[in-house]
Amino acid sequence: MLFSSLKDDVMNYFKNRGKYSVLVVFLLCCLLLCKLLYFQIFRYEELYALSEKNRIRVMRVRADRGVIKERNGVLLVKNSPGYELEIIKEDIKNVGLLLDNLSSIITMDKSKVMRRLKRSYLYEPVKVTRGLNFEQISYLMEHSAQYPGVQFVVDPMRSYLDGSIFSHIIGYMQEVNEKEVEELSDYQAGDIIGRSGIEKQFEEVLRGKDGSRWVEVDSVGRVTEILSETASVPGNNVILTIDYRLQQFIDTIMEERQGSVVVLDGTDNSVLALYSAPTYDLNMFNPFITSENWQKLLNNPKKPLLNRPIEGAYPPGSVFKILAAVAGLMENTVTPETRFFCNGSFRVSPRSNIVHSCWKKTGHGEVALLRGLSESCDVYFYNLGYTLGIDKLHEYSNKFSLGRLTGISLPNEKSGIFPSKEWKLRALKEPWYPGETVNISIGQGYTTVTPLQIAVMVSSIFNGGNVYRPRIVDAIEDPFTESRTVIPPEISVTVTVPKHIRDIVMRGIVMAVEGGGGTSWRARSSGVRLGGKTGTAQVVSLKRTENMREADIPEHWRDHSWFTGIYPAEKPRYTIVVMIEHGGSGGRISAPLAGAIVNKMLDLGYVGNN
Amino acid sequence: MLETIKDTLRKSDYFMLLLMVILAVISFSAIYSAVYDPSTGEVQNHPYKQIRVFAFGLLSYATISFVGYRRIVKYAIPLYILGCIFLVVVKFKGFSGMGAQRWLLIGSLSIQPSELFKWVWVVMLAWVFNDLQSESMGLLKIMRKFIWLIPPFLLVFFQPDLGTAATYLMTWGLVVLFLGVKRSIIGLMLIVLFVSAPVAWGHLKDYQKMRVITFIAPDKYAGKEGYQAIQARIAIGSGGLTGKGYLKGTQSHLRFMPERHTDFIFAVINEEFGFAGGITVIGIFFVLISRIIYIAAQLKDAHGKMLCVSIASFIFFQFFVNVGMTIGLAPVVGVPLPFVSAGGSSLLTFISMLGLINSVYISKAGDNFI
Repeated sequence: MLFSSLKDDVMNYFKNRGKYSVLVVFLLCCLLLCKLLYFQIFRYEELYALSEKNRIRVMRVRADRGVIKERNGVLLVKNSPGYELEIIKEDIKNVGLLLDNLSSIITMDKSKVMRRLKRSYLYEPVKVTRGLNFEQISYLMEHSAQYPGVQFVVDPMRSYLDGSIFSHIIGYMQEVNEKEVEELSDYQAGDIIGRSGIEKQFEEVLRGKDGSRWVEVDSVGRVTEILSETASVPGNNVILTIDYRLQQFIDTIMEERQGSVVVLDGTDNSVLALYSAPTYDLNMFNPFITSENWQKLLNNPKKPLLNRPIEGAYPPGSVFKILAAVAGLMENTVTPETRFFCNGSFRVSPRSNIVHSCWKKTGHGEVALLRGLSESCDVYFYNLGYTLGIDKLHEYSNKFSLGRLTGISLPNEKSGIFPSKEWKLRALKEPWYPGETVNISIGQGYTTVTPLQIAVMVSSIFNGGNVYRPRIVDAIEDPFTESRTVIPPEISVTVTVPKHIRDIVMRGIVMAVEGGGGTSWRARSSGVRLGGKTGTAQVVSLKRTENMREADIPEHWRDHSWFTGIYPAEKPRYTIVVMIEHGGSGGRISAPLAGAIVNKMLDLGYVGNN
Repeated sequence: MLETIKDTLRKSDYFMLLLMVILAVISFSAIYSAVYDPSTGEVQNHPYKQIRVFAFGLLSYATISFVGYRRIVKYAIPLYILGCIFLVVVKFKGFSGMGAQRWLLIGSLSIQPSELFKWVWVVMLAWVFNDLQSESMGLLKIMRKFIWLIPPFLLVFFQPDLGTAATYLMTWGLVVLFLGVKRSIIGLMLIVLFVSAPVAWGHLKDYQKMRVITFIAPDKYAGKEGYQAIQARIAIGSGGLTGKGYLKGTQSHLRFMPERHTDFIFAVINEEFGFAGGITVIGIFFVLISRIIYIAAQLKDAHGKMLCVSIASFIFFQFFVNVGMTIGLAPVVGVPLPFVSAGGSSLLTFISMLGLINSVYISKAGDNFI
């Protein structure tokens, strides 16, 4: 039955319907032809003229990037007008020739421009280069007949109050790469994007949103009519907690040194200064960095691009003793009266053949907490740490941010290492030997920390134990209303450090600065009492250098020099960390730098008699 | 076996094959021109891909002619179910483009199941409408036949691909109209349409709504969605009677159209060949559609007849909407011009449809033909 033949009446009915449908199709085809003729005959002239003369183009309305200010409202980064050169494929007769001609006047990457041209529509402007100077523009304008399809667009460039003193905080910007153009819908070839620092971390906040404008242009590219427009939304401003004056002062005293300075306000761990030396000039990236300069930056053995306070991890040396003391007191491993005898060396057991020596080979004699801290007696802390054990040391260190990310709003922070039993098993596939705890107690061994971590540690101990995430951005500001949305402080861990413990440790480190045998006396300041602790972190084993005179030790073998201070001693608030790579002894190099910075803060009114 | 192949070759409809080859030549030239870059002289690979798909399509055409439409219609239901499963898969596993989840990646090929389903749909229509009568259809009968439309229509509508979903619906509607509907029912359908329009409107995506609005008032929205419509109009009008010449239309506004080689290919032809090009394309489609209906009218087998009607409806609807959209008689919906627009799935589908027609034509030598 399925494929049976149809009866005649059905066949005829179908045939009629068929004829009828062909007629309908024919009529509808005629309708299409009529409409075609209407356009192609009656409106031919008009539409032909439109196709020859008028063009509809989409123009981008650039959003202003947000500015960056410091705590007192000083503009660190703003926008200044710059010029970009764009070309429009549709208006160019011979692309190769045009680019050849242009490249004799301006620097550009011809293959990159060709790739961009290939991907763009005829009417779309393609960016050739940014940051044209006045001479180039005037030359091209004068000879505009020779450069058809070339146009200039005002392109706001970053303009820095100073190119180098806050480079690592602000960060540099570069053109987006081809992959990013594909992946990020808001970016077009030639746009710039934050690559480091705040510019990177807050890219979305700062960037804003571009608008667009559909326009009709005449044969020479002049806009004759705006068809529709979507407004751009400017980016928000970022307000930093940094003090420009302090940062500037640090820049002047760091000279040729390599290292870090961090100043924190312990009330919420706001960052007042974060300096990395050597620095680099942000203007090198403005409008774009030459590949020669880029190679220079990358290949510089001093690594200027490294943001040392958060990316550099070093053994902490004796500055760690502050934490060891607090942990020991809190766990009742020691009391302020507990005494250990220092004869210049320490053994885990009388039979052990591994000798841990004190920096003072002749020994300190009977040492209690205060003198242990002020004279930085290694044997005292060997005993303390060995009794306390690695588990407790790790627990306290981790709480006070050693060996973990502090969470500062900057890209590329390093966590460093604070070892634990689990860590060693995982990383080195070996169990923990009790003897290793001894080295850890004085900040040596596997431990590496960033200068910011040490600052957070000290700051958080003396603010009572609130380990705040360091704040470098205070607020986001609306560019029109200037109303600010404050980014609230955030506590990552709370460890209640009793006042008597804070007081006794403070006494110890104040003695280090003020007392006769103290290691930190070079940090003394006339106007404010401060507690301070030096650290000298070995880079190579002592055996290699102990018989050399200091001046004969090659620089890269010299110890790292640490100093951390907390002030005013009576009401601790500000923490400073100075860390100089291969600076030698902490007391000699870092302490006086810290002293100078504390004096500057006195001048600026942060601390003082009032 | 060899005899059957010889038989197939001897009885094939070579006139239809010729029409198809002419369309393929037009398609290749137009796509070539559309993706040709006059400033560098470079051409993207779309036209060559079209040729490869065409060659593959001929293989499919020959296979279907050889197998015969009767065996295929027998399997209409399993084909239909399989097709629907694919549409479900693309909803969850497909990758998206132009705001819709349309493509499915098989190996390195990206296929568009909603396009290929068109072929399944015409086979299904032939199966659904095989109970031919010599009178107009009543409401109950139409309702029964409507049920089959619902699953594929909804699956594609919510991809969301309004244009393709509309082709399923409209082809069904054209087949129903062809067979005849009682007047009272036409009135009822119009009422349903008016009631359901606002509901459907609510389910449209913004860009789809804009297409409809743009159709009603293109000049007002010239800046955005009406842009393509206006550019297409300028392109067509500026072609005049004889056009600007091959590859010469490239300085014009067609360059602005992102979909010039797919949905707006008819504008490219008209700009470069003018009215002469336009009437040629329209003429070829008219001849092709008439011929299919002619073949249908002579056939004694209901399935064969309905297969022809469904396919003619499909080709006509897409042809009319695509050309209509280009010249401002229909809203800008993403419906490709059969055989001409760049797009492998669409080309393959339509060639395979003609394969079915050819197999119907071959069967005329048997008892079923007058």
